[in-house]
Amino acid sequence: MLTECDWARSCRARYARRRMQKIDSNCVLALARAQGHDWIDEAAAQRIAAGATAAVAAVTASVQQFEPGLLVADSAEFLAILEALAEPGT
Amino acid sequence: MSFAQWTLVEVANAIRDRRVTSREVVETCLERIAEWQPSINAFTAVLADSALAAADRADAAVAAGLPLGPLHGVPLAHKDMFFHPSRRSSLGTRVAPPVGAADSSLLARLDAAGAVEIGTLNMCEFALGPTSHNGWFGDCRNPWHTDHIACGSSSGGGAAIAARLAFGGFGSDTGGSVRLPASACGVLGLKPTNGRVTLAGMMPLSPSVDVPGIFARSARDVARLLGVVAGRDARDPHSSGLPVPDYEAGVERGIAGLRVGVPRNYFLEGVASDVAERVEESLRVLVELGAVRVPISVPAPEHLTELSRVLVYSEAAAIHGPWLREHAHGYSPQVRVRAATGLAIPAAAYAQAQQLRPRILRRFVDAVFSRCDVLHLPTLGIPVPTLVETDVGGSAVMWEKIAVLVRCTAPFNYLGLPALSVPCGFTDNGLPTSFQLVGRPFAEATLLTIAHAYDGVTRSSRRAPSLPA
Repeated sequence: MLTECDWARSCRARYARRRMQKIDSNCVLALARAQGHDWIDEAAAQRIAAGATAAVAAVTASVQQFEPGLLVADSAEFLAILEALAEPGT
Repeated sequence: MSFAQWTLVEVANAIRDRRVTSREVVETCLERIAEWQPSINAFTAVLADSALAAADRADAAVAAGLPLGPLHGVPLAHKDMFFHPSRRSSLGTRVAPPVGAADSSLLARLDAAGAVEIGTLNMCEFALGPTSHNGWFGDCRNPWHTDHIACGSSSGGGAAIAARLAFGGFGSDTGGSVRLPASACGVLGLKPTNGRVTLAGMMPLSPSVDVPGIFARSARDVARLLGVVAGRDARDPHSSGLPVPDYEAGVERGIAGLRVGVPRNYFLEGVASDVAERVEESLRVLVELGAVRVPISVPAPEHLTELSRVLVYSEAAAIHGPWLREHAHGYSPQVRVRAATGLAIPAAAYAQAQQLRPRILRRFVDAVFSRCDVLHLPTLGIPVPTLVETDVGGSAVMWEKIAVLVRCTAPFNYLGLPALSVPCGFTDNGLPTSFQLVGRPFAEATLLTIAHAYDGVTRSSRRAPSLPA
């Protein structure tokens, strides 16, 4: 019988697996056509799918490293954060 | 010794002190370019007439006793992607779209400091690629061994400065594009903190990740160039208004007691044994000079390169999308695929990668730079490969090959941190290798101090390649 904790862990794992599904070449071809890029053939779509899948997986994995919640940071604050973290005396 | 072998600061001082004229220096560089260019193809254009005219103006100013800038009369060369009113930048392609961008603020600052631009440098097409292949202008080749790549995308910067064809120059670094060619060619390469140097008038690849970087042959030279171009630019809203330190004066501070962090995880995994030996030797030199070695666990480094790619490919797809849609076959296969990868990255993933960036940066800085002053790691974890080994075009192994090359560099582009590649000897194939120093934001002065101390003992950046037979 699953404890509450096991159940939560199992849900998270299933959720993570579901979210890590690959972007395949059919998906890329559909997106490419929708954006007017008719030059993308099956071979190019496979390369693009591999790159996009790895990139999106990294985002998903990184989001999971932080406490669940809304991502409300303002990306425009990046320079201000860099300045705030500057070497003392800079 | 020919003054072509001098450092930038040495030749600037000699021009100022009238021991040599700018014309003599420029003519020497032009002669060397004529000798080397057929072998290494470092330039897309040589600006001989305008450089000689600028040299004569510089010499006239010296003779007249006029105030002289810190780069007065010194020949430099830059990646062919900084816009200038007198010419059209190639961007590494012959099918470049018309770019209506304003002139480069960086070039304007160099002009104001008295620099002489001697030519424009070869680069990977649209700055997308860590090798030095270019189907339009021809591949740029490594001056230490012309069968090998100069790395990229600022290929000509590493090759030209190593071959003593100019005294310094600028490239762009979005995933390692200055540090990798610097390492492959045996010169110093600095990626400054994002925001430290203006982007205005530089071809954008990914504006939130791009940063102009410096090639030079000594830490003091890097310091002088950075001091000229750093600081707030009203034309670039993402440039920092933090004060610009006197980098050049700071290089003499010494490194006793500085804590040098050595990553326990990720960055040293899979590093070739001869690269690891040279990097370890460089660490021992720093410890002999008084630095303290500190093992560091780096938080979650494995995703940083891919997070950077989310930003770079999304922004590149946005920039290239309209042109790519109509002129896809004007792009090389690899660049075409890489520029289009952003078409398949969901907008939400892009926004998340942007929103995570400050949080991940803060976590990284807190975990790492509370325990050390700099990180010390390889720049390129493998010996410099050949042109043939890396000529993969848009094939299935493309991502894998690229990942190996940028493994130790791209993470710091996502984090926006300053990183300096410093030559530290040669691998078994006779090609240069380097260690990389990474600091907290705006810690360029600390990186340069360490590099200066190291070079003072090893003279590692003074070795020059010989003209191929």
